[in-house]
Amino acid sequence: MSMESKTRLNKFLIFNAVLLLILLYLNISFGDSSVINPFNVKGTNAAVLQLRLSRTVVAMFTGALISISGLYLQLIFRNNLVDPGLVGLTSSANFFKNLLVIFLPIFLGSKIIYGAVGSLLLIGILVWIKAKDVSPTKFVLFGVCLSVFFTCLNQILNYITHNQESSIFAGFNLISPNQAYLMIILGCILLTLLILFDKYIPYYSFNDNKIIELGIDIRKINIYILLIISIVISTVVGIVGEFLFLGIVIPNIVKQIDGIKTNRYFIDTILLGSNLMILSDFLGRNLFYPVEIPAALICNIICAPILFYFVIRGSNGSEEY
Amino acid sequence: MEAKNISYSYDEKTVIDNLSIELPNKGITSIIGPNGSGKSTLLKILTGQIKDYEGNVFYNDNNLREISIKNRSSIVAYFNQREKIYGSISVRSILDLSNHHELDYSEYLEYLNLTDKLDIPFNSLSGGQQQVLLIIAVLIESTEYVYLDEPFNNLDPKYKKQVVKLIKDAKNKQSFFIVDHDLDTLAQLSDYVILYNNGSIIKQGITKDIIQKDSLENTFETEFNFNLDNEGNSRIFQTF
Repeated sequence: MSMESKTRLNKFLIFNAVLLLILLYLNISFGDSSVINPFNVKGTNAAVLQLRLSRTVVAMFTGALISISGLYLQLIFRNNLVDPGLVGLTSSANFFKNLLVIFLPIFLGSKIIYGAVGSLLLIGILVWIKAKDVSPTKFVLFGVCLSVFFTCLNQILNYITHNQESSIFAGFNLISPNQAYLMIILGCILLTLLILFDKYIPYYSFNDNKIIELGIDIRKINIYILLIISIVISTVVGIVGEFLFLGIVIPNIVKQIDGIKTNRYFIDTILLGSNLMILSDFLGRNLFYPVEIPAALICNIICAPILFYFVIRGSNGSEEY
Repeated sequence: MEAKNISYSYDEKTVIDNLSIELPNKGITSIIGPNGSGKSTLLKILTGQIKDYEGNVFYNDNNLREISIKNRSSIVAYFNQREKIYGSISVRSILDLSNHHELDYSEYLEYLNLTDKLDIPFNSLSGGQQQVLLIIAVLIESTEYVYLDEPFNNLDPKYKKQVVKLIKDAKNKQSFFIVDHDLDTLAQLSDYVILYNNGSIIKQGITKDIIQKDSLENTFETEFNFNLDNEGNSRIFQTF
């Protein structure tokens, strides 16, 4: 079993890395019925290249950040059905972002800060719900209720303020180079911070009391991780928008394939998440050209049947994990 | 370990009532009592999992509430037969994560005939195998005090015998505190016994003084038979 898992694991990592390079090239080179050679750019193509680079880079980081957030949330809450979108994190961040920009100053990064208010609030609510020792299914249902609640609040706000920018389904068509730079900087910082906690991933196989018994203050670690995740969510929502299902599907696929090799969960999750998001952007731009389908919609279409499979099958035969 | 004036209530029900208890730093102490008498709750208090109790628990004269998480990890280890392991993790990882002192645990696995299970998912094992491995994990934590809550439940006779031997082998280095309903095994294994009911200690002392027919029948409100085995040891049987 160990050799089989090892062989499968190496191939999965290599597959994802190669696929990432291919998808990066495809998404930058193809689109809007024009083909650009990114290694030999001439004339007006430079501007097009810059725009495509911006959206591709943002898509890459978005996929990585949402997916890794989903992984850590599933570990902390011991629940394979937890996803930042499904449990209301992205919708609450989006609502508070849209609400606070009405009353407070706008500057570079302000939407991220305002969105963080919402995601922090939601995380607090989720931790409180979890402390009540509810079943995993009930926990997710609570999260769905919160998600619907904030989504509706956001839509009401959009109607009142005639806000065209905000959409339920996020895409990368309006990404500017400045937003790309912001995403690169924040994405690198946040992923670096999250990887510091990668060594604790195997410990989440125990309950919190057992981890404490082993000498690790897991409650403090959970707080740090959840704080970082709240910034991750507000970053993605602030720059791009809301995404659903990615944070539940990618970690479950990775756990299914990597199995007991928990030390690979982090890298495989961010690579696979990036790949799926870039692919979604590519398909959204090119499938029905000149109409562009938001990447979030394409991503949901791809993820929904996979999620259906996991829910029916139940990861490892257990509802909880 | 010394626990002084411990009281704990839950849902307006007194679970533990002004209890004081001392454990030596070596040997095996068992606590026996009916279901719902508060034994497992007491274990959770003594291991720091329940914090909102009255009274104090001291380890080597240090108050448990003031001992850091890092220091506590070398003092206390706890096994609960209802403990869950989440996700896909290998047996090797479970043991390595518990192995602060990087002990060689291969002898345990060879003795239990589980060496070939090291690199498979823990949750793919049978319930008995999982339980035995979790007990091994607790033993290799090498803490001063080891608390075992129903370690013999779900074990077949062979695993039970092997686990008893491992505990006996370790008792000169560690102090064991065991809660279980297998009175016969506890009577053979323990140096000290605490008879416990309704949140209070009824009697405590060396095993042969406490494991008496009258005491057990009064505590559990059911009949027992005491017979001698081939080696002259007293064996407890419940009659139906």
